[in-house]
Amino acid sequence: MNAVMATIFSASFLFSVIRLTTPILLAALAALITDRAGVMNIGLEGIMLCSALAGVVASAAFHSAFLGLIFAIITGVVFGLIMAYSALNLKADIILVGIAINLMASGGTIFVLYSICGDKGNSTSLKSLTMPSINIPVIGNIPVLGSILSGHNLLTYIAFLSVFLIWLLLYKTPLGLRIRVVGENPNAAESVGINVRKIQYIVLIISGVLASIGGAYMSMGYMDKFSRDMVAGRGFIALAAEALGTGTPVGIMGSSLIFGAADALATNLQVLNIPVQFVQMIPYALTIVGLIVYSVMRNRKEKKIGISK
Amino acid sequence: MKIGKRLLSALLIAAMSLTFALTGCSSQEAKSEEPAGSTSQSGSAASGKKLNVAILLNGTLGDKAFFDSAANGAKMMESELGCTTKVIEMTADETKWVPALTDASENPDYDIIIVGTWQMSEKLAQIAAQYPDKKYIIFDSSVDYTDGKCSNVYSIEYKQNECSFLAGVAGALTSKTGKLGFVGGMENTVINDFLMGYIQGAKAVNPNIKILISYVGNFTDTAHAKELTLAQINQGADVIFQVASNAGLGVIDGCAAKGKYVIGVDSDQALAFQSSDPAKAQSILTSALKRVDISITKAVKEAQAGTLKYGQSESLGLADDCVGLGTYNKNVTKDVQDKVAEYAEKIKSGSIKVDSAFGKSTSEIEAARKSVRP
Amino acid sequence: MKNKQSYSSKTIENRFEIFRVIVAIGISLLVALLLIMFASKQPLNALKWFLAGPIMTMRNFGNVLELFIPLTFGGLSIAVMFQCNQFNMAAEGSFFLGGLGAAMIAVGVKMPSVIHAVVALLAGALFGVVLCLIPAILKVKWKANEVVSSLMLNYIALFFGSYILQYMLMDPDAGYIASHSFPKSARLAVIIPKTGVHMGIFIAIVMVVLTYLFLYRTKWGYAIRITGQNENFAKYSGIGVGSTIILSQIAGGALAGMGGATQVLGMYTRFSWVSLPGYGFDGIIISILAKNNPKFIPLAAFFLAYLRVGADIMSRRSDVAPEVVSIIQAIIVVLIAGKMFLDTYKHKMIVKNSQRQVKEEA
Repeated sequence: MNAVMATIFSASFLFSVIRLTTPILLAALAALITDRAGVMNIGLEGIMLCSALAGVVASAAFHSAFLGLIFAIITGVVFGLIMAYSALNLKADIILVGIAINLMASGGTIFVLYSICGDKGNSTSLKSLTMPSINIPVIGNIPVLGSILSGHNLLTYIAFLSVFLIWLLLYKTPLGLRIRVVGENPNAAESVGINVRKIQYIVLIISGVLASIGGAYMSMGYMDKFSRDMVAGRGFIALAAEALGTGTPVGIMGSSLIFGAADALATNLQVLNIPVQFVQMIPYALTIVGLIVYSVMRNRKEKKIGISK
Repeated sequence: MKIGKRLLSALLIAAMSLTFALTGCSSQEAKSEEPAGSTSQSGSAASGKKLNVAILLNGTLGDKAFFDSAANGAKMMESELGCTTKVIEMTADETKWVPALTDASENPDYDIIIVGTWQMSEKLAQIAAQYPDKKYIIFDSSVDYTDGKCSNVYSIEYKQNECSFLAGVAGALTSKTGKLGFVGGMENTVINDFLMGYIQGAKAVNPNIKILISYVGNFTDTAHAKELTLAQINQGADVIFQVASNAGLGVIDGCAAKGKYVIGVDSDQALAFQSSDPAKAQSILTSALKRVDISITKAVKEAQAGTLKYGQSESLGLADDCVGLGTYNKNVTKDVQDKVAEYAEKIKSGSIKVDSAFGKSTSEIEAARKSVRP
Repeated sequence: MKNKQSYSSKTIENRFEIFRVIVAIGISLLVALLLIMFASKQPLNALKWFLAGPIMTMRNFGNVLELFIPLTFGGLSIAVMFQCNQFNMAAEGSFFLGGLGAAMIAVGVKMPSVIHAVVALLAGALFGVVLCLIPAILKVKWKANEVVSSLMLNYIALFFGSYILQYMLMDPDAGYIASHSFPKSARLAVIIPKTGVHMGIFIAIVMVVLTYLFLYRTKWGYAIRITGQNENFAKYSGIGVGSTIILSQIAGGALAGMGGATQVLGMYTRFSWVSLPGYGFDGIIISILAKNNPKFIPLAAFFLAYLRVGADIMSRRSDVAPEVVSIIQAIIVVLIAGKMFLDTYKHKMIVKNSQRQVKEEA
């Protein structure tokens, strides 16, 4: 037990928390931006998986990790557009579109992988590239903090930078204002001349970009290969993180970090004398508890507002 | 109405191309089948019968291990024995296995049908009884032969605990920290059989050895496997044995990133990475091999000669070259290799009996795990 | 124009819906065709097996019927919940736990033949209900998003189930992680020899009828449908929205759980699920194809079963991977769920019809 406590309070544990948080954070931000415009994107899991594959294939084809990332992002944008067209033009329920994308991604990536590599499991036969890890000059030299914050993958820094960028977008730009108005009351937004459909198109594209970076991180940062179903539910966890994140980028960073920590904890607790199944349950059980707590708090708040009125 | 017309014509084209496809390919099929049939007949008349073998995998290719090794067996049969082979992936969906097996059994082209793993044994026993004229081989498991059943089935079992014993010996001798790691895909009996041998082997050379044991929970989440590996390394493990199929790539990746050793599984993983990723090949200490390819080729060779013992099960281990360790990392000293060879001899001669997970309850396995927990 | 009569706009809409479904299926099959042409060295051969394989032998057709059973249950379960506008994804977990519950009864207690199977099926249904109830209660009580909570619950159900399997049900002599084998008394008998088609097919059909009657002939079904169409209207007309939502999840969970039980007792000799079976998510496709109407669920389930079996046969006989089906499914779902898909065409039909009506009256 002492050994476990020692591990949890070590720098390498906190480093791994950040590493584990990255894909969840990116996908949760992707969920946030659409949610603020009144659209629920549950296709994140599938978009991440498709982008993960696209990045690997493109980086191997063009011998450039950067072009790989670009292709991953393009894939994300295309899926964002498909979702937007299906939901906004064809008026399909967005949740169903998301489910369709997830169902398609799992089999579709294997189909494509098999067509390209003749392999159904992973892309070992492709010489794909990874995004570089970055040592931050000054911070990297600070004793403990440096070893926690420096040396992560470039995409990890992009993820945390995105928190700031999304905050900036939502609260400091006219577009952000429109997004929030559309989310709160689409009818009112329409009446003041905001093109609701256009705004929702935009958020789904941004969402696709963020999710695709999360997907690229899985196959070109975290790992250096694509393997089937490698996103493994992180897109769903991100939805939960978004639900608990109080609707703000900073809140979502907090909830994503909690999930990263829960995941890291589950990883380290396997050495204890607990059936492994219960340890594996931790992140999911935590989500539900968190969801309840958050919902209860929100309801109380709403009631209070109701009374004061 | 424009859209309607366009749609209608699209549908018409689809329908036409479909009917064309159906009629077109039935004629093609007939053409292609005839010469194939005639050659096989003349072939069997001239030289000893060249067998047509179907290998049905209850999983998918690409694990760089178990199933890929079986597919490699198909290649060996083609090149060494002149067989015709077809590898069929039945995928991990259990409800598809019986249909696929029945399908193959009813196909008159196949002389021998090969399946593998414990999950197939009861299903094979049922179907083999319905097609007494077909011949079957099952690897990594045995069918139930009591009451003279399954006289048309030959079973191959592997003593994977023997090769993992040697992996434990090599790992414990290499480790500087006295802590080893074990990352399994899911808890199941074969994975735990690997674990039993590994624990026993490691303890044989270092009674105080500690082993960190983790399970990914599936065979696909490479990222989680990597995370488990990094956690084990943080807790002091410096040699990690991975038995996690596809997810095992994450273990190899994690060890390569931290400069620790990993022991591969099923096929020689150092060779698999040699050309595509030499850095990873460097971090592989050795691999615990289950030579599915050698064993099924051997069986088919015997079948071709007419000496294969159908209606029996054989347990193949170190003594038969069907399990063992793969190529060593160049940093493994001769002393270590000699020690491993020494233990291999002891196992072959029967003076060491290796622990198995088969027939053990969950709590007995838990006790073994406890004995090496740090 | 004389012999062409005009229709009520409702008939037109119904006819149009059928037309739309056919077009959606046509388009997706066309895409599949292109993909196969692209991926295969012998596309025509692959296509033949894909489209005609399932009806070439009785056994292949048997496979379609075998798959039809769990898909029907999955579709029914989702349809009941979608009718109430609840996107509860826990049907997937319920299917899994239903199988587990049935296995526990099958292995754990001794009973006479038929009764044993019935009790096992009911146990499965009960397990399913328990799981599906959780997101419903969280939603009604605290307005917690049911999509998120149910997705997470699926994982918890999986890990919980594997724990039970490993520590309570496992047969150490099986050689793999599996329960002891089911006694004959609990298994659902095979009804078509040389195939795996079992009694479960009758249970599925009965459940289709019961679910239809429940949704369209009882006041509870009415409440579910009204709540799904317009929650506020339901409130004003005095329907207890909260209890209706819970009721729909109970029904959905029971159907999914019973589906899991039927599948395990009919198709397996031991319980050995170590991952989620996927029929809950398949249920979504089926329910959408069937417009959430139990009447059409068997048709949709049969269609999907046919596609899947065709793809399997194709992958066994040719070089095309069966995963191509997943792309077909996604296109069908999106096009059918898209209310505006072919909408301009529908409007034209209605306009033409009313013009005709005007003429007739004149």
